[in-house]
Amino acid sequence: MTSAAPRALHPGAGQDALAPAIVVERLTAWYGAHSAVRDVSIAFADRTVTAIIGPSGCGKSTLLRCLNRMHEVVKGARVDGRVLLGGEDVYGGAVDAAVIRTRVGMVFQRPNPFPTMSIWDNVGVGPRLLGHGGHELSDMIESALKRANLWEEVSDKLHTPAISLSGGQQQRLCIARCIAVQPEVILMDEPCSALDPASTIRIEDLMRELARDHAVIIVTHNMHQAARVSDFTAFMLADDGGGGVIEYEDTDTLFTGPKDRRTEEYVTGRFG
Amino acid sequence: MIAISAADRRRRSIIDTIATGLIVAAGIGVIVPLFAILIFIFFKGLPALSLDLFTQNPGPTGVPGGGVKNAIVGSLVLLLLAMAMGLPLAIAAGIYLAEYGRSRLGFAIRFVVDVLAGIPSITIGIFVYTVIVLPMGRFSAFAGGVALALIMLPIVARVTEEMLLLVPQITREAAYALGVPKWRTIITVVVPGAASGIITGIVLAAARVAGEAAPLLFTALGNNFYSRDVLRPIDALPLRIFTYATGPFDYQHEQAWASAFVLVMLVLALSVLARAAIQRRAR
Repeated sequence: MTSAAPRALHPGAGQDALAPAIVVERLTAWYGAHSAVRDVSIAFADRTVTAIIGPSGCGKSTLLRCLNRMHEVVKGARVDGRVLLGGEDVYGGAVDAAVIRTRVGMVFQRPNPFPTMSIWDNVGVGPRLLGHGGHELSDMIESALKRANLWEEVSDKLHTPAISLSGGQQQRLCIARCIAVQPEVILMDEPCSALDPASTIRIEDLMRELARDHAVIIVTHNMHQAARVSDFTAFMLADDGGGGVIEYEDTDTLFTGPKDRRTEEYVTGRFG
Repeated sequence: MIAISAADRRRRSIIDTIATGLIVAAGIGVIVPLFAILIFIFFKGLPALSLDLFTQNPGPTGVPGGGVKNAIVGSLVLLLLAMAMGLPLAIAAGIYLAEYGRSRLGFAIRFVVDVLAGIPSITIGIFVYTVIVLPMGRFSAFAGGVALALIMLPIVARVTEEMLLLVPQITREAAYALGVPKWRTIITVVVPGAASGIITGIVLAAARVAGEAAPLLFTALGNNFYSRDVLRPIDALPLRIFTYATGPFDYQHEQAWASAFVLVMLVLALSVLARAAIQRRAR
């Protein structure tokens, strides 16, 4: 890992288009006394899809949840290190976690629309929170649903309960809800693992589209998915001290010519 | 395949039949007392039911006729008072226990609430008599409402807590991840998600206190006359049933049965209303 460090910190360094959207410096994350992520430094480029892969328990979801301060929602969870969003440490003393979460959106493993709200209200939660109303609110909701490729399917039933949608539609609704407030970074924690193959393809296409305007970071169990959608891939593995980034390359290189033996064993399916 | 002999198969089938029979019997055993009570009240209460029962107040003792309008209205007043005083506190306590109750204070409150739920209702009546009736110098609907509120409090608080805890963590996290603060998440996402369960709990608690006589004996006291004044003694159906059932006259016994019938119907109407409200919400 040390030999790959400069590159690991800034993949695609030298290309102006790939300015980092979010930079992690020496991050360690605990659940009580157990550290799930140990001393990780990594930068995620803007306007790209970055995949984090690795076996169960390698700390990839924890790392993702540290980026929008969702890690601390769990009781006993703790973080050390820095996460720089636009140069500002999200763990800085005066920083409000709620503000960070409007700038770094998140899509979860299972679709989790608000069950008591309509499709319209689900997408409207974020904009309303930021004080938008009236026509502006309507425009933001419509635009978000269109960008999430859901508008055509729901435009005639916007005020029906969100839970009446299919699983794949619910997940796209959750993406629409997330992008309605125009976050700089979109985190996706295994967003397709509860979906059928057809819905998975639609979401993967959507990730590519979202990467035109956002930094998209996905955690996935599915190596094929990482290979299909991501520009860069980080491989994580945990030892007794917690999870760390073993190798971080552009996706083609990581899958076709990994430098680390453990990466090679994982991507060729010998473990994990 | 594991071979099962014919004898073994027969033995299993017999055990299965016996077990099924026992379970069905137990199920029926649970229903029998309920239906027995309902049928009994129905046959005893229905013949005594008349329009006068709802429109007339009790006449002079010993003179047949009259009704229990004052008790019906009194029960509704007491119920409204109890809900107005008890529900805000109970729901707030339930929210605290569910959302912030993993602390030492939370465990202490939960314990106290459970103890309160176990206190006999007559004890609550004595308590309210001491702290409200004596200082005020009079029995009152207000004191009765406080007593009923104290009985509703632990029931509604614990139901609220349990219903809120049923709202999945991923639903809360969805709100947090949008930058919604915790208090706003609770109000806009968690409580609405648990509303139907909480309403059911409220109705059950209301139904429970609607039938209470003991805590009203020395708080609301009962009243032979019509009153809606919260600062004066007020009648209630359970008190009226108690008075008439133990009275010497046949017309009193008949009206006690009819009042019991009205009380059961009131409780039943409450649950049906709540269910209808829940189903309309769900759609």
